[in-house]
Parts: sequence; C-alpha cells; structure tokens
Amino acid sequence: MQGKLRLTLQALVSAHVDFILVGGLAAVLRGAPVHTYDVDVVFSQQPANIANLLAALASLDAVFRIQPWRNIRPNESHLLGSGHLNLQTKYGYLDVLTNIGENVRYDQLLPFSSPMLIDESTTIQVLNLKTLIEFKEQLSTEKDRAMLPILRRTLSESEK
Amino acid sequence: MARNYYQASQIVGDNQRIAAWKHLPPSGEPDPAPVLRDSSRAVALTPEQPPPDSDDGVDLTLIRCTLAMTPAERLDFLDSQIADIEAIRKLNARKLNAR
Repeated sequence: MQGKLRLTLQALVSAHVDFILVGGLAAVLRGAPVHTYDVDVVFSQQPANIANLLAALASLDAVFRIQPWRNIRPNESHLLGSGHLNLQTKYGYLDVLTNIGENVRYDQLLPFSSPMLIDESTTIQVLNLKTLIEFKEQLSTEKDRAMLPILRRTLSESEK
Repeated sequence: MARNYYQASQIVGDNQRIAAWKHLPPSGEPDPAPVLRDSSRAVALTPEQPPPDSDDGVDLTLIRCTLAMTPAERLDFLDSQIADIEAIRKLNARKLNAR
C-alpha cells in the first residue's frame, strides 16, 4: 500500500505541477532523521501551473484546514496571492506556499534544488539541505531552531 | 567482508549499545550484519567506530542510518511510521470510547 505522503506528491506530479519540496519532508528526503506530518511545497505562479495545481488540489479533495468543516476549497485567486495555503487533503496535510523566507519564490529557489526519485518513475524537485538550513536560520520560531542541529549534522555527515 | 566482533560489554558503553540497537533493520528484513541486541551477545562495533553522538547531542547513528537509505526509502520509512502512529491512535481512541 502506498503511503499518504508519497500519494500526495504523486498527485502533484501526475497533474504536472511545477513545485519544489521544502520544509520537514525535504529534510527527510535529504537524509535528516526528523519527523513530519505535512508536505510543504513552493509552486510556480505561472498561469498554466496555477491551472495544474488547482486540478491536483481538486483530485486531493483539498480544503483549508483552519476550518475544514466549511469545506472552503482553494481557488485561482488564492494561488495567485502571496501567502501560504494550509490545506487538508484526503491524504493528510499539504501546505502550498507562494514563497518562503523573505519572499523567495519558486524561480529563485529552483537553482537551490535538485531532482530526487521518490519511486521508480516519479521525480520531484527538492530543496537542498544547505539552503533549507539557511531558511531555518532566518526563521525565529522555536520549532525551526530546534531542528537546526540535526540538519547541520546531517549536512556535515553527508559531505564526508 | 571480514569483521571483528567483540563482546559489547567489554568494548562499548551504554550509549554505543543504544546506538547498536538503532542500527537494526526493520523487522522482517534480514540483518545486513550480525549487529546484536544486548550486552550478552557480540556486536559489530570496532574500536575505530565513529562516535554515536555529536558534541551538541545529535544522534549521529540515526543520521548515518538515514543517509544510507535512498530518498525513496526515506519516504517509505516516514510514511510507514506515520501509518503506525495513526493505527496506534485509532486503537487507543477505540479503547477509550469503549470505556
């Protein structure tokens, strides 16, 4: 049986969404022994990609998780904005981000990511660990700071 | 490949024994090496084994284990952990509701 995190990523790939995996799951794929329950992606805001992302979110039954009982579905204007969309899908939690850090967007992040295989036929772009650490260092939340020693050690071990 | 085996109680401290535990593969998979489970049995630790923890307390053995996996295996591992946690939560929720 496929896991929910993988199914979420596969839905995005199947819909031809241009995205970069960031956050805790990116850290996991880069080898950090951390735990996370959600998928965080930064997406391209090109019109064609917005349409593809909307199709993917529909296939995932995505609704805003702040008030899931209201079943508010993300629409084009939400995706064209500049914020974070914290969604709940049939496979779990998905955070769809227009930017991270100090308004760093998809096109700017792309050079700091690289493709990774998540199954035999699915490749996704994943933020590099070094860049992920730099963003975590910019953030001031206790949760992000707590993860930093593990991320730094993972980077140093991976470079040996 | 030839390996040196030592009695764990003779060569390792508690932290390293715990580290040896963490090197165990998931249940159902054959051991890649005879890393054994308690101090009464031999472990595949050698005197030149790198330290299990960093100066700032990060468990390097876990990092080495995850770095030894492919990205797809890391995703599988996390997905299976989440599935296990969800199953335990559901089981306990049912038990609480049955009270």
